[in-house]
Amino acid sequence: MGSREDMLEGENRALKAEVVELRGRCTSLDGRFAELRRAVDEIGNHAGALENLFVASSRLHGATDLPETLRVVSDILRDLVGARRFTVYMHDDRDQLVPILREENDTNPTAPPASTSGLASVDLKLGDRKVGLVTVHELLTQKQGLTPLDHELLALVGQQAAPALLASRLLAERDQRTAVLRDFVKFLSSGKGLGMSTERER
Amino acid sequence: MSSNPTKTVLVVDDSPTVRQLIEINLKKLPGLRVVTAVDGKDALEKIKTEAPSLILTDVNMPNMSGLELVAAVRESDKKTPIVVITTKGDPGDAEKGLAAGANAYITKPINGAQLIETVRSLLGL
Repeated sequence: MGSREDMLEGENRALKAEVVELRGRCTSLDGRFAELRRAVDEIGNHAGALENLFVASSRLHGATDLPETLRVVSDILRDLVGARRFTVYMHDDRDQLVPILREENDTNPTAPPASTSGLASVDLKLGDRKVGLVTVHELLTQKQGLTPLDHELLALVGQQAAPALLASRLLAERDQRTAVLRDFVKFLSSGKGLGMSTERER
Repeated sequence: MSSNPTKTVLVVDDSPTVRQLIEINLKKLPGLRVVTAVDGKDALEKIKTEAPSLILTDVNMPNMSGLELVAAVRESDKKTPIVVITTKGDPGDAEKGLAAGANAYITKPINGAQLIETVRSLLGL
């Protein structure tokens, strides 16, 4: 009888030790699971960030005229970054910053007036040359602050909006000049232009 | 025969940037087809032809706002889940959307994970 009790006690001790070991392994697995969960979340956030950057980049590259380019920049700042008030400036011929796009907060009368300083500013660059500036003055109320993704989006706007804005401005200027030339040719071919020069020659 | 029949989600937003971002996110869900509309009026036309299983709509849009769209849909359809996308953090637009008959709301900037979870939950995926 005694040996049977001893045997059962021995088994009991072994089982208790196994329970302790299994509990330890469970704790370790819980920690590993939490680690993997964090990694999955991180990958998800990274994928989300890449999607935002892809959309912003493809939209900027697809814009063909000035209003559309400004609309895309505005969409990126408002809908992807979550900016409530922002201004886009371009340098004019005298190197002065001129606002070309301004989104104002019309619901907050206490908001300070827009200036070139704000929560965040990024230069619009063509290569190394600064051609403008984007300033975010205020974020949507649900945004706690600018995230690393927001800074990446602003950097992308700084790098890719300038060529898009300049290209669309040049295209607009070319269209204007083409229209002037077309009118001039039309005027000449109507005979009025030739008539004037004939008068002068006389 | 597919065990996972296709469900159509109608995305209504005047911003092509937002439409593209939502479309990219929703295409991660298998068996989901995305149709887009640029405003409330366009959405009402698409609803007639596409019979969406879920509608995601922005609030501020030209021609017909998202809140007007929700009210118009609910006149004849009480079942199709509608999610309102609000820009403002204050509960104003969200509350108005829910009062008009929307089932849920999400705020901009759009969080892909939150968007997918909301759609998945409303469609029972």
